[in-house]
Amino acid sequence: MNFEGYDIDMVNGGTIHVPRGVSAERPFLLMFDHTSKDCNPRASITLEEGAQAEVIIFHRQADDAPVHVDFMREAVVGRDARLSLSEITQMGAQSTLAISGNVSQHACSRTEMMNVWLHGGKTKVDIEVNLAESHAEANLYGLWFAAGTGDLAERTDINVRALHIAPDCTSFQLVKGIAAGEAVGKFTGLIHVAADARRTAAQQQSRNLLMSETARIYTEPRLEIYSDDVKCSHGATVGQLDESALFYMRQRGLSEDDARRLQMSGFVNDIISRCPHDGVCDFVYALAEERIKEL
Amino acid sequence: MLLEIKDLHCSVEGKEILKGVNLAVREGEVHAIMGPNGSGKSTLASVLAGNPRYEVTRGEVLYDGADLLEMSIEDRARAGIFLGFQYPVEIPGVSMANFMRLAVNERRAGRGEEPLSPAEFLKLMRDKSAVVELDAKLMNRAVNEGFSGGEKKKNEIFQMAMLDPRLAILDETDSGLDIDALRVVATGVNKLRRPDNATIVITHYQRLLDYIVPDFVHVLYKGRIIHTGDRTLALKLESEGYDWLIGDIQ
Repeated sequence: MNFEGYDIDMVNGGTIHVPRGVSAERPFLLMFDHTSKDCNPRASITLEEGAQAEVIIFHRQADDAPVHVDFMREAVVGRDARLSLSEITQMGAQSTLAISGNVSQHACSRTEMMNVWLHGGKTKVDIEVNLAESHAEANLYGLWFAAGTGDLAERTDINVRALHIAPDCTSFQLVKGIAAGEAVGKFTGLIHVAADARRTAAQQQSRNLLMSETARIYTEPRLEIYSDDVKCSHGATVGQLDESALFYMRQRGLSEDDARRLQMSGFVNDIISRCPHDGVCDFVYALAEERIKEL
Repeated sequence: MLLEIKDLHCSVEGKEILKGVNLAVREGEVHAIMGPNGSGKSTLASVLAGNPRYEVTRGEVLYDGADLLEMSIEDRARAGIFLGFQYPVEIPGVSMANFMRLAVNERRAGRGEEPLSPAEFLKLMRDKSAVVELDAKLMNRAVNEGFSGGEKKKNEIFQMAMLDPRLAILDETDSGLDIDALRVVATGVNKLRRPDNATIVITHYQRLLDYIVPDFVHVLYKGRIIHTGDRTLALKLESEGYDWLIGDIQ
């Protein structure tokens, strides 16, 4: 992986601070080459009032040795600030990665999150978004893959919590998953609306594809609503590839494998396309294509 | 002979739908298959394309001398069989352009030709979308997603033009089309007619056959072709219905 010529600022260490009113011209890239020595990395992102920034976080392994990483990141998004946060994980099948992410949003701030959990033996993700002041907006897009059999069967566990503390805030969650082999994927999505959080608009969608009879997917929407004046919706589906679409594509000459891959690409594309940086977006597309070939 | 169907029987979920279909199609010919609802028209189209939902229980189908029923869905397509779907399928997230690029190159490989360069492909796509007056912008959209009914049917004929089939089977391509869209679709089909390809048009209505003039009109009823005539048969069916034919059978 080489981001030379990507027009990106590599960040050493894990602290990004964008002062008041400043728009960072280029995305920040936090590249974590995890080794067994450094198992508790931290990242801290602060956008002061009116600031704007795009941050891309990559997790990968420095070498083939299994690692156990406990990663914590915190973001504070000031009043009227705009944060775009993309996170991509690519860990080995015997590694464990726990991500704990906390985003606090001030009034009228906006956060866009794109998460692609590509690879990892055990991946556990806890993301909490605090909509602490009014008119804040958070959009979260997630995509996970889990595959493998026996000891190498991957486990992915995604927990997202959208906490509506203040009135007039908006949150949106769309998390997609593909499980193959004997892998297990789990998604728990919470929408919490506090009593004072009037005129909350919150949506949550969980869309999942099962690629084998032995893979398992659990999806659990949780809505805790203590205010009367809200618009909340949620939906969850677990399905298989669309047979009629496979037939349609094969009738046009595509092999069965190509038709399956193309349908999976179609399934994941609308998440990856949320990545704000074209170069990184193409790069993640390519990684996802490789991943899909293995399923 | 391009296509020879001999005593074809087929079932879906244990129920026999086709009960001995015989049909021969030569290059250069257009065959229309008509018949009341539930007579097996769409089943015949699906079986020829290789839809796995249908089980062939008896009979044989020769395509260009080869055993068609032994061929996979994609091998049939690569060998030049095209099915225009009655209900074109939406494929979210897969762009028309990407889908067609793969399909065209498979078809070309089927003819022993090299893949098209990106520039050649774009030109082909522009040329062929003009044939059916399909907005070229749709090529950046997901396959059939958000397409109107007319656009979906035009898109089928567009794909047919892209893939240049030897045998096109159009399954009720006229259903749900207004008269302008019908004319566009029919004109597209006519432009693609050549002495070395053939078309099977499945339709409920005679009006499509005003535009796509068939050499033969067959009536399929209860899983069998009970009558074959020329284009005047379609006119007679339009005015008199099927009762006079069905009465003969019963």
